[in-house]
Amino acid sequence: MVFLGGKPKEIELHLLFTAGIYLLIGGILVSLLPGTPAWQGFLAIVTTIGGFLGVHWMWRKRNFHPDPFLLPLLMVLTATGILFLLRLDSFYGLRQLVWMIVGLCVLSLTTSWHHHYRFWSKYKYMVGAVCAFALLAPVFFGIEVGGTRSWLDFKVFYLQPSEFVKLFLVLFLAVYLSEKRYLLMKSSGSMWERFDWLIRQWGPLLGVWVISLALLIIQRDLGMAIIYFFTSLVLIYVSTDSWKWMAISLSLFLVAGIIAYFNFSHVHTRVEIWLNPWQQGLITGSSYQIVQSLLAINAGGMIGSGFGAGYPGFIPAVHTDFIFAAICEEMGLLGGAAIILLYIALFFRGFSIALKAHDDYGALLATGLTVVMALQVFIIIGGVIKLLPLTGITLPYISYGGSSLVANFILMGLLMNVSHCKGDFHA
Amino acid sequence: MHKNIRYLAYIVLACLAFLVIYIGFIPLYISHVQSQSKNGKAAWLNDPRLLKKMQEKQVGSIYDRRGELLAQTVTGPAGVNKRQYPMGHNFAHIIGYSSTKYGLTGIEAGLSSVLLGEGNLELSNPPEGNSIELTIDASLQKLAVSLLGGRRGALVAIEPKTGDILALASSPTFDPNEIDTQMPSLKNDNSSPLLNRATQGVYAPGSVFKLVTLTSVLQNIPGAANRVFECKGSLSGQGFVLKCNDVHGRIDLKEALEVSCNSVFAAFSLELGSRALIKTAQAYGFNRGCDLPINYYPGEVSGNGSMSESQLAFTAIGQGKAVANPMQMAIVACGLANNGMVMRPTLVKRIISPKGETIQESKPEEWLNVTDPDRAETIKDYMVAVVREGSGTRAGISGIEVAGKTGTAENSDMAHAWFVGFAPASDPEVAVAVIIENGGSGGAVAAPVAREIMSRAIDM
Repeated sequence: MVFLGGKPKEIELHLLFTAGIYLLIGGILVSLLPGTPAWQGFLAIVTTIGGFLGVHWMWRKRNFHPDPFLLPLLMVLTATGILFLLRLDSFYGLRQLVWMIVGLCVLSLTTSWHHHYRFWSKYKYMVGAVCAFALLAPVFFGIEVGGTRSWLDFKVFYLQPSEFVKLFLVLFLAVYLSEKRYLLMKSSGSMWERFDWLIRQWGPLLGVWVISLALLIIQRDLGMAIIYFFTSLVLIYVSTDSWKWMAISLSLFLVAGIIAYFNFSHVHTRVEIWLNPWQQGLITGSSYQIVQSLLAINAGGMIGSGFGAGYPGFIPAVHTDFIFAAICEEMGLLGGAAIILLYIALFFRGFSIALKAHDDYGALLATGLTVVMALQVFIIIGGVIKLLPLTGITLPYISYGGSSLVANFILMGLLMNVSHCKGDFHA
Repeated sequence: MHKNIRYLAYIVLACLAFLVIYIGFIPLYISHVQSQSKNGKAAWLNDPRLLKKMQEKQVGSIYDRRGELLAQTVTGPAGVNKRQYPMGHNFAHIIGYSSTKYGLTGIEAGLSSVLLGEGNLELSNPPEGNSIELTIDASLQKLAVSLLGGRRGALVAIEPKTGDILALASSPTFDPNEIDTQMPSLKNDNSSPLLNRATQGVYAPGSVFKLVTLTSVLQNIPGAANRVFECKGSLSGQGFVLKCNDVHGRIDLKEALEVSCNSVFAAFSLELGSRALIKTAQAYGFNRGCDLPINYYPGEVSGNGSMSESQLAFTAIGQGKAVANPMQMAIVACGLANNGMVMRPTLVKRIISPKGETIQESKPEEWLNVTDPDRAETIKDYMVAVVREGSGTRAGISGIEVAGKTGTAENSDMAHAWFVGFAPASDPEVAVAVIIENGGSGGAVAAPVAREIMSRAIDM
């Protein structure tokens, strides 16, 4: 880190510069590909570098000092997504570019609120209600896309409320748990007192949690349901230090999983495909996608076929859930590992922000936001490589998807707000 | 709380690191599944990338052992490459086909990376792949296909000293040049022309399995060759009655093979026990793959040592728990022809670079040791007697000593006709296994086909 020494803002600028070189090379490669017009690559370079430098410049003006590694990491991941989307299908690439601009605007809005980052604590029950309402909306007004009824149709684009609700859920949990963690930890007295304590202190928490989960299960959005469940579980464990709750919740999860396996055909099929996709009846039907993904990763080998030289188009839904398989095919195991390393760096920063936070609320918020991202990355990459049963969610910052990208930019903004510090920076 | 966050961070980062390790194992996993699919244990989906590359690249040609062209790539009018098969239906089940609509099969699928020249260091434009020289002899192969003559059946001929597969025919067959237009009718054809019966057929071996039982008897029961039995036309045991094809009276082991007496082999099998029989079958390559570039389902003896007496007795005469195809039975013949040592069967003789240099050449390799030379010699004598004066006289070639065994495998319809043998007995040049589905008696229907193949192979 010698060359990075100095003020946080200098570090951020240096790293943005490095990310810019990466983007420049990628953008030129995109322009040289026979399938895509040259202007698209240059548009991606100019917009992305311009957008991120703009945010950096604005923060300097406003004297906002977040963790200097976050913005460059965000840029590398988003740029990777845009470059691969332009290579796969420029329709999605250009749309993603627009979503990135929207995301950057929302990011600067979110970070301009950093002085009021405790704002939500006054309205925690309202946040809970918003969660429930936003998840409820698609049940009545939503449309079904790819087997999950979790989308709202806004004509020009589809909105997936569950992507935003994950933020509200983390906000609610962080506020609630930071205020009540000592109350939640103590339980003594007569049976009645214990029962009263259970209802008063745990009630609202469990209520919000159960409603979110039930709705997600009704919408069949299993990936998100699992993310909500584990994020809540982890935050409760971290704040109350209670192994008991952890054990109870995990066994409930196992029971729910077993019931779902035997009663819901879509869950059953997914597990079946995961256990053995190489079955005569499945391979040309429901397990075709995962088999294509594995073949793509296999074709990539160690260093990949090269950017633009593979055939990721054979994988259905390659631009959203399966973009990681495309990266592995063209950039190889090394490229895939590099992407995972970038995420590891991001989460490492997330957890160290949590450890350095000024108060419990900040620590819980940063932990929750990091865990949401980490779960999403682990579940979708695990699904694409057949380590876990596949559940359709996006790879944060890389997969195509407006709701996902904008929501994750807000998430990053919230994390940056927690990390904001005026003093000297120590990496 | 901070301690918990720290632990959580360790767990999360370890999980992500594990993803990287897991991805590293995917190629191993894929090649494992692919080899499972060759033994029929998993379905396989060809990587569509291969087809795409086959169109874009100048894929290597395929030749027979004498350099006759069997497959080549020609560039069509629109610059699209297409595979052409000059020998048409004769090689459909070995070379397979390459179709944008229906994928790849046979050598085209199994050795696609060789044909595409993947891993070749020299770059050429347009990119060229390696050529392949097969061990098959095109004239023998053509004769085999014409002898089967559209009947449902299959034939495999192997050179026992080297393991080179000289002919591998399955009938009925199809023209791989016309696969795109004919596929719908081929798929609906009741006689399944797309199936490679020679390596993927699953048949009751019938009496040809007695060669395996005989090997096991000679190996495990001392003095069996000198014992005399009384065949009363059937053998009854615990809860079963096994019929013989005749009442043979007083008969020894050699005569029992000559006339294919069921009673003797069934009685010996009860003495052997299922473990010993299964062990001998495994020594012959049953329940075991053999690294061919085309799909091969080895013969199987199921029941893992816990067979009932009835199952054991029927298995010993090839009707119970044993199944096999001509490739498996040709391997059995090779073992007996080559003093008890099976050479690894090979289909690819040479791989030739675009510049004409030999990149890889197959060398004879010892594969399975089925029995010692003395016992192999004894069994060979018995088999010579089968052809000289027993059930296999129609496989006899004048002036050459032929060793063989007939089989008439019963099933719900008319029996399958089998013949397994090799010639010349003193110094075998070719081992052959033939099946004609629902053909009737092996001695009458399969033996003449084997005779033609053996005599042509010896003349060459």
